[in-house]
Amino acid sequence: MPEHTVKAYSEELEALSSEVARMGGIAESAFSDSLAAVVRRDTRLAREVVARDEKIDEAQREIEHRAIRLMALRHPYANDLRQVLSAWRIGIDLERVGDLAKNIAKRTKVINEFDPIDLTQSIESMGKFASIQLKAVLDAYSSRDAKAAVGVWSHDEDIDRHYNALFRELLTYMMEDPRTIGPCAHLLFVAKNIERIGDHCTNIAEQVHYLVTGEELIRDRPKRGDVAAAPPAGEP
Amino acid sequence: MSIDAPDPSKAPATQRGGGFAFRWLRPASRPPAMLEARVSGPMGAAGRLRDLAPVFEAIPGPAILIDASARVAAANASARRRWGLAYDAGGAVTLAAAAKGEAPSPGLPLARFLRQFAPLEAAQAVLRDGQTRAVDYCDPAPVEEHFRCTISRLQWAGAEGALLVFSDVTAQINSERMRVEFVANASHELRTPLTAFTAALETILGPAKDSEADRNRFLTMMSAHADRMKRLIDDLLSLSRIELDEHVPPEGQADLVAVLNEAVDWAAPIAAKRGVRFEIKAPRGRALVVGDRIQIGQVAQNLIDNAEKYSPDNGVVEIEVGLAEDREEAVRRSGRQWPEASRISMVTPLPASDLGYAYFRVVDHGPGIKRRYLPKLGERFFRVAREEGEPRRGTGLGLAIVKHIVNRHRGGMVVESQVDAGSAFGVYLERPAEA
Repeated sequence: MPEHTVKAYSEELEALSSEVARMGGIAESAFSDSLAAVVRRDTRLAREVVARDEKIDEAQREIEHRAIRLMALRHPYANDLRQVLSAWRIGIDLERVGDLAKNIAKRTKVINEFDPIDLTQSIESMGKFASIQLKAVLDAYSSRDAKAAVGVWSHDEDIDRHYNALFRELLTYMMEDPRTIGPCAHLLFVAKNIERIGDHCTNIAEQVHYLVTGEELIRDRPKRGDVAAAPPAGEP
Repeated sequence: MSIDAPDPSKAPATQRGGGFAFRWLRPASRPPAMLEARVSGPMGAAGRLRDLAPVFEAIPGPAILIDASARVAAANASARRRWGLAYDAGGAVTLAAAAKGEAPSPGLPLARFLRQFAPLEAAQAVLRDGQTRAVDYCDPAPVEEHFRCTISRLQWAGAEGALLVFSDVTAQINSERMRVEFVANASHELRTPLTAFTAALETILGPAKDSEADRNRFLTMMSAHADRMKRLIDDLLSLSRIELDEHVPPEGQADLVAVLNEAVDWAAPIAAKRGVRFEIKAPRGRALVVGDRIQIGQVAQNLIDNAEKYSPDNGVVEIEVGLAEDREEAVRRSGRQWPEASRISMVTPLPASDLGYAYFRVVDHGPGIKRRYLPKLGERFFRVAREEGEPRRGTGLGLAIVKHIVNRHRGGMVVESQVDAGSAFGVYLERPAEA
């Protein structure tokens, strides 16, 4: 990185990066707490997660504000411009992650009003994959590691597989006992939210790759059939 | 913290960036030239402070000193290990992985690597009002860890900062949770064999009282149920133990070639009764990995026993050991060999290692596992046989044990399976640095 003659400039860039990392941390803990709330049926924790979403929105506004300021006053180019752009875009993805976590927490409050459903282990293991992805991609951002970002990017299919399996399982459950349709439908959305958090992780990975190398990752990531469009049918 | 504050008038005049520097607290092994010039003499206050550097280094948990703008001034050995930090040539703390690209100025912000917002917020609050705070937080991935972070204000030479000391409380939290889970699992799973056991006993005391043949039949049944209960308790205990120190990375090394050969030797006599054979394909020499030899042996044993159990009579269990450059190659070679198979990753490590992996893969030619059951493998008490209404074999804890051991080793585990063709379980673990 070229030495900046204006020291305040590099400090501003650095502050932008750490704001993104800080926001990542809030989103990360919102997500893991929302998972814990589902798995342990912890309504209080769910309420906390919902309340905390305001901090994530605030952080995103802060990032946007800093990015606009940098662009308007410093006219960044090359690596610096990529830093500003990627921070902005990652902020948008993290804000979505926060919203999805908040949504999981909101649904938890409803799910907990019903009898426990024995599917929390599946949600837990699916959530675990997503939280590893989120952690890995935030680490990759902190250490500007393009290789690690590609690792995250190419590993999204694990979450998709878990989602497909859970989807089938929930359907079976609902067919067997119609009384579970209410909570199962909410769990279905919880699973969908986790899957989408995984997608945001790959978006962030693309940004990290772009930030470090200046090149876009080409979209030919191996993706299995789109579940939202066509529910999986047939065995095995 | 009660360090004798030196007289502000003797404070070094060369503090960088107008900020507050704890640079005398760097490890003694790398005395910065700047520091030498600054310290007035071994008897001065600053000299005494420098003597405390090893104390800071030796704090068992991670400890970090930050300045008033929450940038890292010093990090002890444990903190550097945990977050991949390093001191650069100028004595500033940097992220080791990012060292070549950019040296943040005027210092690495705490938020760049410690993303947990509970300690970050608390640190900000301490810097604001000076009140000492302790916060608990959880690091959820890849292995759940719980920390208590104590933050106290530190004043020195008219400048301000804060000291963050982290202690690992995972063990306490885990043991609490384990106890609850163990009791729940044990009482639930022991109920079935115990009921059968009691029923047999009542039959012997009642209807079968006078027939020796019947008595023997029921006694044999009782013995089988007692065996099952014993196995269950053994597995539960072993699972609890593994989960308890899952957050402690293992030490030592193991040679996968030797471990797999040993596991085969153990399984061979029983397998021979049904004509099941083992074939090992391994590289010449050793395939060393970082890990606890006994636990890795347990992983190999469990997977080989499973493969044997699901093999048809006179079948062959194939075992492959090999080396891989990186995580992608390890995944491909241990679990992506059959184009038609369904597959799933049971454990995925963070892709951090530059050291490469060694892997092994155990293949059976049994009935295979239906795709919808794959994500449930490794859940405690999940058995495909029970789902399919067949008589159950095993305790349903074997793969759970395997999964936790692999997770503890920060390794990976992949499964691929094809109905009516067989299943393959692959495990890959990091290689040691000097191998």
